[in-house]
Amino acid sequence: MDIKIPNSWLKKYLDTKASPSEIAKYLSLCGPSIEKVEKVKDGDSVYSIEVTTNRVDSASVLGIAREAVAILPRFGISATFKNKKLKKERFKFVKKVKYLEVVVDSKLCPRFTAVLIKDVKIKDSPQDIKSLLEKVDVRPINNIVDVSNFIMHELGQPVHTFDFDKIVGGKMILRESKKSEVIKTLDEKEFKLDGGDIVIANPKGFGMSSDAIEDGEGKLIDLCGIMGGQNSAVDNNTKNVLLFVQNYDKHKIRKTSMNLGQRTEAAVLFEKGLDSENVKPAIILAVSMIEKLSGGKSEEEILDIYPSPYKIKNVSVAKEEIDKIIGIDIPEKEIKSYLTNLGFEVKTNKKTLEIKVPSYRADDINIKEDIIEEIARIYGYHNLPCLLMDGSLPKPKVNNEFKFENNLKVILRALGGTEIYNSSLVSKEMTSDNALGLKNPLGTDTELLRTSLRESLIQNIKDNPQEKGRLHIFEIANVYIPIKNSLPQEKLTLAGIIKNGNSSLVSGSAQILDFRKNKGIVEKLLEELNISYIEKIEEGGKYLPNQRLSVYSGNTEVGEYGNLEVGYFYYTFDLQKLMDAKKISRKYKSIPKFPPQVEDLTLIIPEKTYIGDVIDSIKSVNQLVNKVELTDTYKNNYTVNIEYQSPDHTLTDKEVESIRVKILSSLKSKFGITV
Amino acid sequence: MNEDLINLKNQAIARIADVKNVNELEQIRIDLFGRNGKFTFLSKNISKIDSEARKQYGITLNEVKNTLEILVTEKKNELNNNAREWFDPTMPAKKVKLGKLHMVTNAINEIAEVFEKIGFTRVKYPEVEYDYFAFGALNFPDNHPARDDWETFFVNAPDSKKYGPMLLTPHTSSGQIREMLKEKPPIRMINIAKCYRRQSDVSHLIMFHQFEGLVVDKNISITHLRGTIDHFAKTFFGPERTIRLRPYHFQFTEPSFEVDISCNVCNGKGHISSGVTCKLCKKGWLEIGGAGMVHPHVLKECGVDSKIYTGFAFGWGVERTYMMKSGLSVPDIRLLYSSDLRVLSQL
Repeated sequence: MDIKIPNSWLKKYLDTKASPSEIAKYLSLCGPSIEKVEKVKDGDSVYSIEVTTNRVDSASVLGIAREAVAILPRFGISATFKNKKLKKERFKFVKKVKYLEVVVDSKLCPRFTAVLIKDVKIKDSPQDIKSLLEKVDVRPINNIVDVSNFIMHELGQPVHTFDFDKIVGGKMILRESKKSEVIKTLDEKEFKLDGGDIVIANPKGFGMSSDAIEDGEGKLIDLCGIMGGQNSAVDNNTKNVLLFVQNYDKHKIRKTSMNLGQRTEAAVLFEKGLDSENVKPAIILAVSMIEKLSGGKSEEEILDIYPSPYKIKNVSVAKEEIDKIIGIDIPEKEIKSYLTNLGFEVKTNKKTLEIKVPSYRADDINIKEDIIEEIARIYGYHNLPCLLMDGSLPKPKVNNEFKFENNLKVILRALGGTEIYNSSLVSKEMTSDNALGLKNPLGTDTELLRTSLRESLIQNIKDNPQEKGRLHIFEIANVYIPIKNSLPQEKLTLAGIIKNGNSSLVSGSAQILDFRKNKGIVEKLLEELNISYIEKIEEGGKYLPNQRLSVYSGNTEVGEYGNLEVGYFYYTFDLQKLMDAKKISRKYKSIPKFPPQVEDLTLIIPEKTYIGDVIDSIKSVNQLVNKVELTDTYKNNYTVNIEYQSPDHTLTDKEVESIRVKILSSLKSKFGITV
Repeated sequence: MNEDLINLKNQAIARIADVKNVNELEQIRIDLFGRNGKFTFLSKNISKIDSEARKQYGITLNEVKNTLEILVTEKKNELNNNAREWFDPTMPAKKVKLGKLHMVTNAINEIAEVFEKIGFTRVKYPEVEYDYFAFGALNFPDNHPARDDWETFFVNAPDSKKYGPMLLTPHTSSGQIREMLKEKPPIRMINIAKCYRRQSDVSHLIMFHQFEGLVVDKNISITHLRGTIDHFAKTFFGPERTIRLRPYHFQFTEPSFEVDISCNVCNGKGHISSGVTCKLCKKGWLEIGGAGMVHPHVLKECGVDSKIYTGFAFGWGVERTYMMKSGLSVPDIRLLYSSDLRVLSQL
């Protein structure tokens, strides 16, 4: 949480010669981060401070002063705490008072204090208070409300005030809300509650307006820890103020505040867990300020319902353990002074420190490591050396997966692919019906975990209408395949999409040319990976009929590619299966001693004959056929370049001719091909 | 005698002007300056001249020689240039079309490399996890805000009896638990993976990447954490960069730190020369991420004896770390996951 504190306000509690920039620098190194120091008109400086969630005790002027007292001396700057001695208490803290009848659920509210201040006069606060509040971005309202805000910023304890005369019969019940109970808060917002929120009800109800909830338990007058009810608010005519200082169950406050979206300053403090011991100083200071500013007179008996007061918490830690975790030896005397300055009480027993934890740190300090952190940060992390670990290295793990993945990316980049990262979370339209969904999605466009990369890639093409030429985009990411009663299978998947340069659905020769180019990318990739594979024409969803090929390595289908119905070329592979696929054995073959014979044959191929089968057939005729390549096509004329080669002699024209004859006769009988 | 020289000069100038190729020119040069050349011949006459006229003859001789030699050279250059085929190397290049790897891929590779060189092993653990690994074993109390519906995505699947609700990992720290349950110390792991958080604005993405380091061994102290992070900062960002740790709070580390790295724009000073405040950093420092000593509860949960072993961990955003290095000032972090190639091509 971020708070603001003016330097002049801090100095009420802190006696030091440190400049604001020194305070900012040194506190940031050893305690709360002071992110900014701003000079304001009257020459004061205002600190913007980030307080971590475990240190709500320092989210106030008092708390920052406590930190400064411990930290500044470490930088050679004297700093002492100006202890604001409370005047001799004229108040009695009692469990029952005459002016208010209360029923409190102490599980919801561990400490409940309240006091009646009579005959107040509502007016503006004095300029000095208004000025301090404005510096911390609080708008001054009137002397009563301003005191509440002032105390909250000075001591970190929220304070609330009611118009006592609006509480019918002086009765209150602090309880959990029931489902559908309604409250209108000070800011005129009306909330229908879910139930389980901490509220205060005024048992006889207040007024008889139509929206009043009369359920026998009364009308709600306070949404505790968040904001007061409008019906009980202090206004310009208020004569008697009921001053209220409490502590609440932090989880309940967070739940209500988040549910209703009411993130008030009080809620942000309460939800972190406040120190019940701070309630008493807060109410005493609040009473004296209100009396002074409003001319009112407080009752002497303060209601204080606090069934289980703070018991001192003890933590002990051996000197040796401190040294071991910090990594250096800090003298015991210094350790003691750091902790004492932070408000801990320290005794040494042999080589062990026995530490009493102050109430305001009780929520945060539980184990010895917590104490070690306090010592280390005050010593200063910047004072520690930078070392690398010695000792043995972990057992090496053989994990080629990352290398393999990266190799794929490098190859695809060389083949012209642009890599993309899409969100794994997609809309219903973008994935299969069985995909895992979220219970609490942020929106319908990110509610399911995709089971395929395809729809995301199609969208990527559509998102780039400005790219008129050929476009090749690929992605490697996990897809999430649901498994009953288990975590999903996270399948690392490669997929790519290619938009052809010309308009996407040109038929005929341009189309087949594009397909050959795209197929070349897929096959080049497989070749670079040295994978042994075969391809089969198999139908598959979202592909044009007869335009999809499955890629098999052995009996395993490792991937697929082809032309999609939407007009793009698409390929996808399972990375694990690619990794496990059979590799072509790489053996050195000596360079042939005898030159090959090469010739072109132009074949006239009947319609609807697969040229792949034709080429396979040519290859299988004789093992002296070394290479067959398609070099040109025109209508149904296909020119193939054939290389004949023997390892032990130069083939004669006659030998070549006899093979050619066999090829042609086999092509004629199998496919009806003529020359 | 002087006249002979002047005549020779005039004839030669006329011949050179008419020359069509280098060979003709060479012939002229030989005719003049060769052993039996005309100029050579006339220059030998000097000995026969009486001393009065000799001086004047010598001056003319030099003048003629210089003039003709310059003419021959100029003509030669002219002929050579004409002989070359015309070629224009100032034509614009036609570049080979390569694809492009995504910024996140480059970032992951660079980050992994730095840590692998000091003995860290890259690992991989689930991105869809059970609550136990993402929170419970990491010392998050039951009702910690990170565990509620506002910050973490929960998967619509039955709870595990043992491990609780299914969710999308909000951090790579779940990998710490998986690693410690699987391996015995010494552990030095680097886990880089996708993470998900339920917020989206200019500086937050619902999906992003983190890299998580974990070291568990005997005698591991804060000084090792400082050393490792300092090594990373200097290797990844540059040898002149320094780090600092500030106190922070995380459930699964104690002590916990926020790590800052010195700003490269103002060299850690917080202001640029003439006292202008540096716009990039906060008083000379840039926040890079969290770190800390592994909480003893976490070690215990994973069966590691915290009396013998200690450890440290850090988990930082890949995108943010890489952006800090690249110096690209991208106004909205969501642009990194844009599918607009005009954006991607710049990253």
